[in-house]
This record gives sequence, C-alpha cells and structure tokens, in this order.
Amino acid sequence: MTDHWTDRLSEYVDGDLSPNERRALEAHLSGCPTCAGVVADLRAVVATASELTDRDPAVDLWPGIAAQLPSAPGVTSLSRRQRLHQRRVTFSVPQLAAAGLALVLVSSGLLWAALRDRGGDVSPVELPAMTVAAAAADPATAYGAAIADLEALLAQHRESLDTATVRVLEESLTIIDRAIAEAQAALAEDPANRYLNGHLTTTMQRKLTLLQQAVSLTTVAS
Amino acid sequence: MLTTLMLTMIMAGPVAQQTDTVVPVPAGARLDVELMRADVTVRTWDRREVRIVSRPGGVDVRATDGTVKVRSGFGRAGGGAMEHVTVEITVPRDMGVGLDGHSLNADLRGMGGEVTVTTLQGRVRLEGGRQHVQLHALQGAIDCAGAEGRIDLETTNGSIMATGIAGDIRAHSLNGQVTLRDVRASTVDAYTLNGGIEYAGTITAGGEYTLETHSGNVTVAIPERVGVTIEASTFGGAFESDFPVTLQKSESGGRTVSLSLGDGKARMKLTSFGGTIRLRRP
Amino acid sequence: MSLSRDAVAGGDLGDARLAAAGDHAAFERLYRGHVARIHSLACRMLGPEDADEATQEIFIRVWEKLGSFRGDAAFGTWLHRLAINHLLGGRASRGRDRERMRQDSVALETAGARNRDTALTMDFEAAIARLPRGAREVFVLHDVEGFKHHEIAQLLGVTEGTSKAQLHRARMSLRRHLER
Repeated sequence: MTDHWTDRLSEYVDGDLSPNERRALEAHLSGCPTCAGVVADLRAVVATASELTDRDPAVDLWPGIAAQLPSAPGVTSLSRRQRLHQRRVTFSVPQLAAAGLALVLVSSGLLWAALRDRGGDVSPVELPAMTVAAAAADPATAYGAAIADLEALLAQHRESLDTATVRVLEESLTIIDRAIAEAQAALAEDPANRYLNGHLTTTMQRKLTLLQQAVSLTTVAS
Repeated sequence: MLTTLMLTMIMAGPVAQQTDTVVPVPAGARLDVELMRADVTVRTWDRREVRIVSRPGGVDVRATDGTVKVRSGFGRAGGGAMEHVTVEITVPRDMGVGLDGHSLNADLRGMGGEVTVTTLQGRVRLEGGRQHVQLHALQGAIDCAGAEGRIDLETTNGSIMATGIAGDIRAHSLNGQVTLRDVRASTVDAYTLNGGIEYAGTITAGGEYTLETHSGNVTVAIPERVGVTIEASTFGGAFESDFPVTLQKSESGGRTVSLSLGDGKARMKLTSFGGTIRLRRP
Repeated sequence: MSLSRDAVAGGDLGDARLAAAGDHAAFERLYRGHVARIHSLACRMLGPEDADEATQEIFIRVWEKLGSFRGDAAFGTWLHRLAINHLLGGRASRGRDRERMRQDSVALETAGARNRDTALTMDFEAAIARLPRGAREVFVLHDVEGFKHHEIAQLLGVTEGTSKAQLHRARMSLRRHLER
C-alpha cells in the first residue's frame, strides 16, 4: 500500500521535513493507521540500530596481522598475550576464589557462634528493619550497608552455631561472593549494562537473605 | 477441635525408653514435630488416629488445641547433646503436618494435607502434599513428588528435584541443581546460583515462568502446541534452540533472544550469567 | 578495574607513537582496543564472510599510515575514518560476484531454523548484511555510525536525495526483522 506520504516517512522520523510538510504529514497520520504503524516500525528500526554493539571477531585476527607487519629491529613481536580490552569477560576459578575468599574472611570472620539448644521457649532475635533503596544506582552501596548491619548483629549475639552449620554457611557465602565478584568485574567493563546491574542486585539480595537466615539461627534463650 | 478430655500426655523417662503411642484425632487436627536430630518417617492410613513410634529413646507427645505435638524427650532444660532418634509417625491422610528441626532426615509419603518441613541439615523427601507445601533446608537435597497447590522448595546447599507437581511453584537453591519434571504449573519461580535448572512441564496460557541461574545451564523442554513468549538472556554463555529465535538486543558481552510460539500468552524468562540456555523440543 | 576514558585515550596516543616507531606490542594494544568496533563495522558494511579479511587489511593500512597520525584527533576517530574509506573504497574490486548475488536476492525473509548446533538463526545484524549494497551502506553510515546525509553523499558520491531514499528503503526492509 503506498500513498505519496509513504516515501517521506523516514524523513519525518529524522526531523528532516519542513514545518509545513511536517504538519501536513501529521494530519495524515492521525487518519491513517497504516502509515502510523510504519512510523512506529521505523522508529523501532532506528532504536535497534542505535543499540547495536560491537563484538570481537570470532577468530583472533592478530596473528594474521602480525605476520604481515614488517618487523623493526630491536622490538620483540608478541605472539600471544592476555587480552586487555576484551568485551567478553572470562575468569579463572583461582582468581575468583581469591577475590571471593577475601570477602568471606571479612564477612564471616565475625559470624559464627554455637546454636544454643532449642528446647522450651525461645524467642528469635528481632531483626532490625532492613530497608534497601529500591532503585539504587549502585547496588553494592545499597546492599553493602544492609549486609554490614547483619554482620554486626551476628557478631553482637555471638552465640555458637555448630560446626556443620558454620561450614554450610561459609561455603554458601564463598559461592555467593564469587558470583558477586564475577558480576562486579563484568559491570566494571560495562557500567551501563542493564542486565548486569539487575543481576548484581539479585545476587547481593541472595547474600542478604542468607545472612538474615544466619542471624535467625542465633537465638536468645528466654 | 480437641477438648481437654482428649488431652494425652506421655512423658519420656530419663532412661532410654521407646515411645509407641496412639492418639485419636478429629478432622482438622494438625501434627507438629520439633526434634533436634532425627530420622522422621511419616506415612498415612485411614484411621482417625496418630501413631508415634520412636527409638532408641523416647519422645514427648502432647495433644492440645487440635494439635499433636512431638518434642525431644531430652534436653528440654537446655544444654547437652541431643540423642539422635528414629521416629515413625502414621497420620490420617488429610492431616496437616509440620516438621521442624536441626538435623532432620524427613521422608513423608501419601500426604493429603498441608506439609511444612524446616531443617538445617538433612534430606527431605515428600510424596504428596496438598494446598500448601513448604520444604526448607539449609543443607540437604529436597525431593518432592506429586504435590499440588502452593509449593515452596528451598535449600541453600543441595539439589531440588520436583516431579509430578502442580500449582504455583517456587524452587530456590544456592548451590545445587534445580530439576522440575512433569510439572503442571501456572507460576514457576526457579533459581539457583551455582547449578543448572531443568524444566519440563506444561506451559499454560497466562502463566509466568522465571528460571534464573548464575553459573549453570537452563534447559527447557517446550511442549507441543504451546503458546508462550520467551525471553532468554545470558551474559557469557550461549544459546541453543530447536526453534527460530530473534536476537532482540545485545549489550556488551550479553545477549537476549526472544521468541514467540503459538498465541504467546504464557511468559517465560530464562536467565543465566555464564551458562547455556537451551530450548528443546520434547 | 576498567580504565577511565582519559587514561585510555592517553594510552592510545602513547601507543600510536610507539607503534609508529615500530613497537609491535604497542600496536597490538591498539588492535585489541579497537578491533571490536572495526570488525563490527566491516561485518555490517560487507557481510560476515568478508569482514575478517577486511579487518586485517584495515589494520595493516593503519600500521603503514601511523606516521601520518598527528594526534590532533582521537586515535579512534582517525582509525574509524580510515576504516570507512577502506570499506567503501574496496567495493569496486572486492567480491564483485557476491555483490551481484546480494543485489539480486530477496533474502529478507526469515531463514528458518538452522541445525540444532547453531545458536541463532536470524538477527538484525544478519538482516543488515543482506540488504542491497547501496541501502546497506547508507543505513550503516546513518543509523549505526551517525553520519549525516550530506556527509554520506560526499563519501559515497551520490546526491543527498539518493542517500535519503536508500535509507528509507533499508529501514522499510529491516522493519520486518523486528517482528517475531
């Protein structure tokens, strides 16, 4: 279906029509759902194009390039080295474990105490109201405060949990901290990435939940 | 509602003494078990009675206000290690059951009422359960079959296996695989941090299915003749699909694909940070 | 962990000077930092099958011309312009037969599922690569790279009117690939 406006729709979307032309076209659009649909489609195409991102080639092209560079005296040509700016981030487990472990030492060093017998009447520890800013620009900051509060609370109550429970909680914290480190490292390379921001938030929430669980295990005998 | 006439008290003596008790219960009564360390087996029968058998030591059984309460026979005064007991309980099929403990291995079969199990350590197996099922462990695998209703399965360190269940399902692990098979659900919320998720079940119109993991794979078997809109995102992983998909957007290192099958009325969201997302024909 | 933009830019200028003096390691750093952008541009302009070769040619050209980079513009901008010129300039000689096939093809329909081991079948970037050459070049330069019509007219040796018409044609083709 064509009318004489169809070919001008891209110009309209780009703001390239004169004011008179624009007014006439907009009058037409209000009565022509087909053209209005096309305008919406064109805007979607433009938006998609502007969001395309760049990707490294699937194959490393550097060896082919290096082979064709005339070598200068006194300069060593490197054949293979660690990528500095790769977009797709990869980690070695030892690297992450080191990062995760450091965090665990900070976060769980204060934590564990034996669980007192749960006979009779026990009242659970009252948790302080945990409020985390809803749309925090930096999830680490928002959750960091809540997590620190919980760690302090656990240290304060200082009751003993049995070693098996401690081990489970520490292993879980190691795993979460490793995942947080991965997400943070990826986010550092691409801070505006919506998925990564959401993912980091979710993962920090898991850590918060786990710490809340740990706190609830410490009871105060009545 | 139990009256005081039906009050039964059995005190376990200081000497290791078996318990073998039968308590009559009216319709609507509940079982409430709290034991520190126990292997608990629950079965059902047609009688309006609850039978509790425990060894090597006894347990404390009381019936008050419509609830049969089972407690440790030792250490109520606080302090001291708990003796590990093996407890077998038989209940009316429709009775609601709650188990709570520190180290509980729980095995429940034929349950026709609500079931709640909470333990720090231990393996939980449930066959049955209606209306509301909640199985929570800190360390231990959870196995749930044939439950119907609102189903909430959670473990921090352990796998979750749910088969033949129906209703609204939440299955969360931190370190473990989550497997949902032969599932009829309108709401599924499955999560694990370190582990994969597998889903094979119905996808109903208007349903919401969220499967999210950090480091594992997400595998979904898509039934025939289904109407669903799927959005699948992975950061460092890959997609494999038996269906044609559209690349919706790709930010640095991350990709989202979408596809729509049938009338697209159900919504499915699959996310993995580092793993592979697979959409399979059944 | 990520470097600030200033630090990177300073790094580029420094590396460009080193590379101009023959330092391969410095040139590799430049390559690593910019290959994604250049390769993606080559993919969109020429299609995936020619992108690898074109990318290598571009970087070799960059190496040869490093002496003429004065540092008055950002290295990335200079590199980008060089890449565009190369990609447009090569069209007279490169892949002539393939080009003819593309222009004749109506390859704008959904391809359908490939075999199981292929992750994606149809995506927006693949659709761009399948556009006829004139429409493809204008679309990439305008909607992806952000050039204005008068700049594109100069680069391609066409009138502004032609540039606008080709852009519209490209967008009308591509809109089919946003739908399911």
